[in-house]
Amino acid sequence: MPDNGDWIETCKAQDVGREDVKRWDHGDRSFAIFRTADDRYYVTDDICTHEYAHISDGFVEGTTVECPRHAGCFDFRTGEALNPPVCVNLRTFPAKVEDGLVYIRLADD
Amino acid sequence: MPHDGIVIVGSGHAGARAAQSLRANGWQHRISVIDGEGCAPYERPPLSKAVLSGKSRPEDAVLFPQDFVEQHGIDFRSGVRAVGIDRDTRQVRLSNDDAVSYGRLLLTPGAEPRLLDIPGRELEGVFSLRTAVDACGLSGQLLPGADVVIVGGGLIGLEVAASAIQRGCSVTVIEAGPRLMTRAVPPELAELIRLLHETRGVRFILGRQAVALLGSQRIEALRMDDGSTLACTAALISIGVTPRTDLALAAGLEIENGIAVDCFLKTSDPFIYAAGDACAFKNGDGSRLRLECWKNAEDQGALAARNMMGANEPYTPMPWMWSDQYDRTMQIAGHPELGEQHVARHCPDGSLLVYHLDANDAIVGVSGFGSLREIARGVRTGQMLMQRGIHPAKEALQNPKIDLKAAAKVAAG
Ligand SMILES: Cc1cc2nc3c(=O)[nH]c(=O)nc-3n(C[C@H](O)[C@H](O)[C@H](O)COP(=O)(O)OP(=O)(O)OC[C@H]3O[C@@H](n4cnc5c(N)ncnc54)[C@H](O)[C@@H]3O)c2cc1C
Ligand code: FES
Repeated sequence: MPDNGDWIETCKAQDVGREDVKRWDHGDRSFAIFRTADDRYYVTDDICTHEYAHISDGFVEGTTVECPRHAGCFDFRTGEALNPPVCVNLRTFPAKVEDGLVYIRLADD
Repeated sequence: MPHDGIVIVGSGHAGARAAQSLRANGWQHRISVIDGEGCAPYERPPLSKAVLSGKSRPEDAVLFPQDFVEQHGIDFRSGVRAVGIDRDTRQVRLSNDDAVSYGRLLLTPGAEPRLLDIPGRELEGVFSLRTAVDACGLSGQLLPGADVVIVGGGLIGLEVAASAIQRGCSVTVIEAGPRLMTRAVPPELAELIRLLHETRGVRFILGRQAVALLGSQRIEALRMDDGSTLACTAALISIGVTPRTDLALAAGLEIENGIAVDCFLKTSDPFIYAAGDACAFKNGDGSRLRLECWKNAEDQGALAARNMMGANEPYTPMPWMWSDQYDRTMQIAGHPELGEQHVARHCPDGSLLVYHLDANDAIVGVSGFGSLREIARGVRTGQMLMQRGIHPAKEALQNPKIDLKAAAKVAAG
């Protein structure tokens, strides 16, 4: 399935731990693929909007992820920055699971 | 609550966060910020790390979101210092001969690098590091081949050592104590950090004091207490900080190892609050504690803002701090110094986590040094275990194959 519409195949759904996050690199960009405790999947940009850190190295609890560097939190469903020092939201991308694979759709910018 | 405005003296971390928190919590009246530094408020931690290693500039880490001052109508007095507080008329006198009245006043003047009282400290090429201006001055000296001497093996000294090595300098650190980072860092980690620095080429001289800085106009060498000298092209003095209490002292406020505040961050004058590095707060056990870290400035700034608006929430510190050296990170949470047993967890990628337990096996602190991923996740899990009062078996803490987060979840039901 090389090109399922605009959807891009990323990784196996089971490769993302429950209530955890996995990094996925594509071109020169990194994305963070989240899986909730009840197996919903979300995708955001992987680079923190504060200084510099991979969000996928962070700690997931419920539907928030805490940046590993200075503990700024984001709601990974919406990308919303929840507490200082982060004040700029993370970008989110549509995600879906089909046949055990996670797909994401990038915006056309 | 009188509506004649809130004045914040000092626009560093605590002051800037307080201004933001006031607006975020719906304060609609005047906020005057007296900013002695004269530039857009910025974060200090990058100064010794990304800024000195040449990866960023101080203005890349500003505290206020873009347009915050305009959008939120902040009366921002840039480059103006507070020079006196008239508590009877509730006015702050300013260095430009102006005055500004307050309903509530927040003092967040921060701390000042401690002076090394030895001959030669006024020579060119001798630096301390607290401000963006300091960082830019020091950065100009970190040229390949420069000989940099750092007096003081604390966190800032070691971060500068790492940055200077990365810029191609040769670096010597002199520390008066028997080991590095005695005050803030558990010995297990301090040792690991020392080894890393040594493999990168830093030379340590422990148990020696600097007694003179030598040179005619510029620094050329440093003399130690055993009479020996070290040639150098630049020196950083990083031997700790002292709280800026002059303004509060002159106004007759109580001072005790900092501007004394109660658990609500209120000073001995009910109209005046203090937060950040400058204030010493009443801890749960009645002792007074002053913390010099980013998380404390962040949390106290926000809390002082809410309390000035009438919230009356006590400050319960949740100490957490980090340091970045080379490509590694250190984090410390809770109170490792209260630990009576120290359980090490060696992660496969070489990261070390230490869980600090009291006599009853309760976790009182967690610390670590290594990769950002292992350290952040391990320390965060430790905080979760502490908050939930979970005491995993020592074997589980030690074994990197055992998922402590899952253990914390299961135990919490
Ligand atoms: C180089 C460096 C690296 C650091 N790295 C870390 C780190 O990795 N992790 C960590 O946890 N912490 C770190 N810290 C500590 C952290 O930055 C401080 O704890 C924090 O900045 C304290 O905030 P504050 O608002 O109390 O003081 P400051 O940020 O110092 O702000 C005080 C401000 O008040 C101004 N002021 C003082 N008196 C007056 C007056 N009379 N009128 C007007 N203005 C006045 C000062 O000019 C200053 O701008 C670091 C600090 C430095 C210097
Ligand atoms: S880099 Fe993410 S919170 Fe600072």
